[in-house]
Amino acid sequence: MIYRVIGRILEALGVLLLVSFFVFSIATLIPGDLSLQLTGVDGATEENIMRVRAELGLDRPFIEQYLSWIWNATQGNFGNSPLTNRAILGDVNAALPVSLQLALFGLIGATIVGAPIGVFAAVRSSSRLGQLIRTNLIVLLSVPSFVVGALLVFFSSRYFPQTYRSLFIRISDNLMENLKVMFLPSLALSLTLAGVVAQVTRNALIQELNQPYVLTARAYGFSSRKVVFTYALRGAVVQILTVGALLFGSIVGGTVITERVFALPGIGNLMVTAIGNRDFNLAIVAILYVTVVYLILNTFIDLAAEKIDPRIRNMKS
Amino acid sequence: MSKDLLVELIDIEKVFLARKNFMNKVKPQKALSNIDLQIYPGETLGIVGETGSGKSTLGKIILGLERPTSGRLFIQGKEVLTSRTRSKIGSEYGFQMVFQDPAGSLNPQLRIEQVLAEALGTVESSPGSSRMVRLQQSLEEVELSKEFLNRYSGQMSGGQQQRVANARALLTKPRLLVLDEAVSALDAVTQSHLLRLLKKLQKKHNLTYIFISHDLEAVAEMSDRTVVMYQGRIVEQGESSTIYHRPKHPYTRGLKASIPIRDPRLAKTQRSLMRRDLLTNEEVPQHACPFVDRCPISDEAKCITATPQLTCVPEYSNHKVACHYYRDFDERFNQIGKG
Repeated sequence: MIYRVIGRILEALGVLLLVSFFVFSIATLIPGDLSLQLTGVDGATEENIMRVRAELGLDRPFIEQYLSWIWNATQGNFGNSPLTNRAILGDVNAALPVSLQLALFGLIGATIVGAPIGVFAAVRSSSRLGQLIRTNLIVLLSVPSFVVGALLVFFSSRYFPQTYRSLFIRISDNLMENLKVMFLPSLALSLTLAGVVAQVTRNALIQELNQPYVLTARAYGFSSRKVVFTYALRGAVVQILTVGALLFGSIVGGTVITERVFALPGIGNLMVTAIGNRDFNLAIVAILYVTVVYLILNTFIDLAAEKIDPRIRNMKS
Repeated sequence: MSKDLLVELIDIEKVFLARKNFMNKVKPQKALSNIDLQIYPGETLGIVGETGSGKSTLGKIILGLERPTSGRLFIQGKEVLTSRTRSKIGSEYGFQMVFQDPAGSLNPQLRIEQVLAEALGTVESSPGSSRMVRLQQSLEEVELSKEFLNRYSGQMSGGQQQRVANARALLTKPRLLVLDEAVSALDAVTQSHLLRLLKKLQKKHNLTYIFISHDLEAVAEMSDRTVVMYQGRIVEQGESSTIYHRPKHPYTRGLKASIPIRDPRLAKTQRSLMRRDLLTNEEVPQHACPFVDRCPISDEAKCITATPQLTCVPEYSNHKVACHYYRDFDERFNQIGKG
């Protein structure tokens, strides 16, 4: 066990190193850097730009820049953003919880809506209604979140102004107000993800329901509720969890659209803004944070899957 | 319907519809047609046939796990297929089945102890300590040590899984047990041991067995009566010894001829009685004999235009065969062989 934990941590460090290297290379390859942003259009003389580049160390060779960044990073020093002059870690630390909260609420909402639909569609897969759900899921899956988000913003601000909050309030400042702010974005995200959750639940459950042991259970006269919920769903849950975790990871890094529509200061927003400004020091740290979230989730799911499903445990041993 | 019968099937037909999408139904697949069958209490009925001949479907219909498309099903003289019947008739009448795929038929999420306990729980509720003893005994009966109670099905070999599946079925003391290829994954010693055990239990509790296999020899050895199925139809039925030693239908003859001869000197003389050159199966017309394309004695006149009905063979009691030319088999076979 202890070896596995150490192995996992080493693996994670390796992944982080690789990711940082790739992001750093891409940042260097992309034309343009911070110097233009800092000097401004009026002050953008050749001389000024050279001076700023020298100050930021952007004129040094790539490898040298990267190694010095790594050296600083190992000491926990990620520096300040030259653009805002705020500590990078502070900005990212403030943005991550917003995205985590959004992802969590969105996924919970999606599960509440999507999982029962998926179970129903699987149990009644051959009926007309089951087929109808399946066809509609595809439509639901293909509606982009900004459409749902924009519609929600429109309807709530027009017809239910009391539910709509345009100003973000941190969870640490006021829980109730924060929940009110997060309600609409979470709903928008839930609706777009519900289709995915329903689809995954349906497919995983149908696969389990076709297993011979389900037929055997019916032959022994177990109630169909028991067969579906304690037999088949238990077998399907690992698949559903795995997709859920991947979804969670992709939401944390990829909710920029929802965050933009609802003006939330999340990490997706931060990342896109930083890249737009060529503020790569900030972008790298944001990306590494999202990577860490992915790694933690992956580890968690691996361990959980082994705990839940003896089939996976047997495969390993 | 006669009360002496345990189960009676009358003109059972099963059509599978593979529905591809919301609007249209495509390609009905006939799994069973015109099945008339009587099962007497205490007997062993063998069903033999190749893959896809409908023998497993027939077993599932008797247990109520599949609903026939048409036909009537009587259990102890009572019609059970009414419009509101749910799928549980089998367990209500104490019918049980050992499924073809032993690995798949055990829930991989549960320990063997739970698997067996749940099955036992469907027939009786006993306190924990005596239940544990029962579970251990049931494993001992199939020659597994009690350590297996703590295992998951994924931690056992195929033969062990099949023994557990048999133990589970016997645990519920079923009145009728459908054994669908139930011993075919076992080694010869365990196989014969389990068959002997099944026969012993049958005598003791007056159980009824339906023994489904692709192996004519095993079926004939195990069962009192044998039913031979081909393409969802019964082509021959009768006493097992008659079916085995004096098969009438060309398909049964073919099955017998394909049993491996163990003496290597005699094995050279073995030849197949089946052919597959006339038609591919999809092209067999609806009203033709289902065996027409592989039959060594079929002709274009009668066999392709009329499905032969099961008719009694006068020489033997209770022997039926569905072939236009079964009387003239040798003559026709030699003729065609020469021509």
